[in-house]
Amino acid sequence: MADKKVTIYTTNICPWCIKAKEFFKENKISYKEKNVQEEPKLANELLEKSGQMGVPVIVVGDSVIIGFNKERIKKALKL
Amino acid sequence: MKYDVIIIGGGAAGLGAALYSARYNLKTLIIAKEFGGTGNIAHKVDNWIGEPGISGMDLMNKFIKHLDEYKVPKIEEEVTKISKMSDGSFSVKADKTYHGKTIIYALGMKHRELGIPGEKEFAGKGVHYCYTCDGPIYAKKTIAVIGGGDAAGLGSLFLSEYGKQVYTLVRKTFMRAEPITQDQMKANKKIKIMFENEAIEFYGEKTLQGIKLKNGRKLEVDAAFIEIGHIPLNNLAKGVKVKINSHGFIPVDNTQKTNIKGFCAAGDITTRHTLKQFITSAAEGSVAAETIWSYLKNNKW
Repeated sequence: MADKKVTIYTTNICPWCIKAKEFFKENKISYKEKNVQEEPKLANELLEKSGQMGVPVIVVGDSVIIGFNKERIKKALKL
Repeated sequence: MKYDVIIIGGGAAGLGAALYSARYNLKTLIIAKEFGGTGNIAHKVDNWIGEPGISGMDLMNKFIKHLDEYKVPKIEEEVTKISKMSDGSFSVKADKTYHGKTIIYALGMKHRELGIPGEKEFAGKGVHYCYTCDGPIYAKKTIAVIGGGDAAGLGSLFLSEYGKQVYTLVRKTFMRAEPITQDQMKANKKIKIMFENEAIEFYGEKTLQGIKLKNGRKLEVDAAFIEIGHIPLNNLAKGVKVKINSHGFIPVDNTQKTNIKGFCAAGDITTRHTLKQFITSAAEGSVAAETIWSYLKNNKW
């Protein structure tokens, strides 16, 4: 089980963000949510980190995962 | 273990088929990469009777919860191959291999891309395919929606809640979106529908700055959401010689049978309805389940 720091960039009703958060909850992995909709200035941070203006972007340790890509998340977490 | 039916696809058609299969006492397995499928993305579903204004994800979760009452095994894996066995049954390869006497193929469609210069370069950097996900990032910005169907119409309305201006670029002289949606768009001061306007290139630097149009004009926008329809996911069906039409859809009769014995198709992937909706997909799934039940009972295709 991983002890890597997890950050999820989200917007309020984005379906894949909701799915991603559910995935981490189900696997009992804590994460920090950064909601770009509620804090628009996070958009720059998101763009810098991922080259993206889209969500979800999931950062697991050093891995930046674009979209809710379950296989890549599992790999990054070594699940 | 051999299932009576393996349902491939976890959207409205697949889940609808699984519910009816379970109620017909068929030994049922449903496999999907992501339960809920593309239905999850719809921000608001106003045409599923009895649930006005429900979100696509909530509706799909209700389908799944309903199905769970019947304890149908749900496998979350991606199917990579379907093969027909010598006894007429099917093997379905995902992470593991599963065996079924019959198949209901309900894989639906995936988002169609425009295929114009700049689309890949600016994907996720101004060019987007999920307005419910990425729309709110463009608060007070100028946004284009490309397309003329229901998703383009609903997307424009959704994005008008965030952007300062929404341009809906429609290639033809009319929109195919539901008339009620078109009326709402026309009444919305932030939305401008631009008929006979075709995007030919996206340009920008680090992120999208605008769209070049076929008529030589440029439209400066911060984001473009592409909603030009979908492509049927027919590859796996081709592997067992299921007939596919020239548009990529699977021809079925009015009982959802394909040309292959024991192989039904349901939902957006079929030719049965041009109206691709939750309600038509769920209906096709239920009809397919009854067809499979009848086939297994009478051995007649």
